[in-house]
Amino acid sequence: MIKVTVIYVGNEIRGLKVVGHANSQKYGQDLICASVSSIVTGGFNAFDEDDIVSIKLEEGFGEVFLKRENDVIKTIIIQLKTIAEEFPQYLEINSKKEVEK
Amino acid sequence: MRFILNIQLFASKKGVSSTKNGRDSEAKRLGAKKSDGQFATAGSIIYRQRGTKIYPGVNCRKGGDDTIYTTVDGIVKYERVGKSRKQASCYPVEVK
Repeated sequence: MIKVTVIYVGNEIRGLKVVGHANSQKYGQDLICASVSSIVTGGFNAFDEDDIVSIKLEEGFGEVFLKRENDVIKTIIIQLKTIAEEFPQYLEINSKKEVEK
Repeated sequence: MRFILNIQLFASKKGVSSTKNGRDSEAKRLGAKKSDGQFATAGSIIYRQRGTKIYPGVNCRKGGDDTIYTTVDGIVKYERVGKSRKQASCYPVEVK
């Protein structure tokens, strides 16, 4: 199960965390994982350098914190929600409120 | 690009497959201990088995673990009984 956490500061989306493994199929044939990997990697590559506070992407873990909400992160979240609606057993999306650092 | 795409980035670990099998009990070395026509002394084991693949025949008996053993010195014989049964017997050797 891949767990996605959308991090809000106030009403703004300021961060995203993607953790876990889909385990829908064995390695190399896991379509859910392939979709999530492509969305997250592509999205993380699309962020503007100026918007980024911190960004990290490795096997089974992706995390980004931003200075301000932007369309890229909203697009990533919508895409992940689209998958989560179809495959709730493999992808779960939660939200979390944080105080401005 | 900031990150190179690994299409299985969020997949289960590579090559790690758990199997619930892989256990087996110690081999029990069952089967014939004396072959047909072989001489056996009284009390010696002829056939180790689970259940009665082979039944005790002439001068033979069955132990608690279904082992067939002889009660006399003699030659071991495996015989058919009826359509599907087999038995082990032991015939004493006539001294001339």
